[in-house]
Amino acid sequence: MLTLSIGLLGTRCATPKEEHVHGEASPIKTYPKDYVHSLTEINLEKVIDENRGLKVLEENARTVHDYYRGGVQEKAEGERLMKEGKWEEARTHLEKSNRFLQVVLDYFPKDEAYRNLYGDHVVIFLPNLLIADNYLKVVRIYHKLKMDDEIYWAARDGKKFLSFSLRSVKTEWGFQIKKGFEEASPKR
Amino acid sequence: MLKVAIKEKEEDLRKYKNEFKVSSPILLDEKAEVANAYGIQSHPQTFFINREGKVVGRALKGMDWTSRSIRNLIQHLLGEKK
Repeated sequence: MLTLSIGLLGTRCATPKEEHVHGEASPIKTYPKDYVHSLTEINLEKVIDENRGLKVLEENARTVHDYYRGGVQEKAEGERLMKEGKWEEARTHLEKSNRFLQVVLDYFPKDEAYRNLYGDHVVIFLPNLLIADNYLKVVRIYHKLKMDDEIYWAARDGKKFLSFSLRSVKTEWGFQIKKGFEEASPKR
Repeated sequence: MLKVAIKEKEEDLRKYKNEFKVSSPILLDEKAEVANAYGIQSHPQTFFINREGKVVGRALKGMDWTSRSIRNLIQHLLGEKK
């Protein structure tokens, strides 16, 4: 038997300097614990809009903010390719997105509806939810490619990240993803 | 047991091996080709591959390799018929 351990060192990056750059963070609105953020308030388009700009390359990413933006940008590209039916290319970008976002989670493991991630800039901060959504898209791609053996694992991973997200922030988007997994993944 | 480091620098790997006294080989996946082939989206991940080259198990997080449950799992997998 061969045991293959992948990614043992992880990636290291600098944490945000939000508390130091401007002296104080921007005021962030707080919400009751069980508040469900509506789809009009928090959705994929808004997240993509907030992270547009110069493309973040993996080799140039240094800060948590870089990795978050890189994760969102790769996701946006994956989503675009899916709409064009380019399944394999889309999958590669969604998986790359998840690798970026995984680095973010090494530093900030909890989703927050709004977080001051750098300087005085507040963004929708849902790395767990974005990873879960990527996995859901990957599950759909596996369906298209008839890679049935992979569906179970991707769905299992995705549900894990979704549960982390919903534990911290309740979003209508998250509940939609949950429904998506229920419809897309077979039970074993 | 093979360890695979994704997109790390060789120099960092050497430091890591020395610092943690790692005796087993660490393979360098410079272009994340292995990671892509195995569909790695979070790390670390561990795959158990049987004699036929088939993935028979997968762990999605860091493992305590000295724990009883892991020892039992490996012994069970090693006990598979040839």
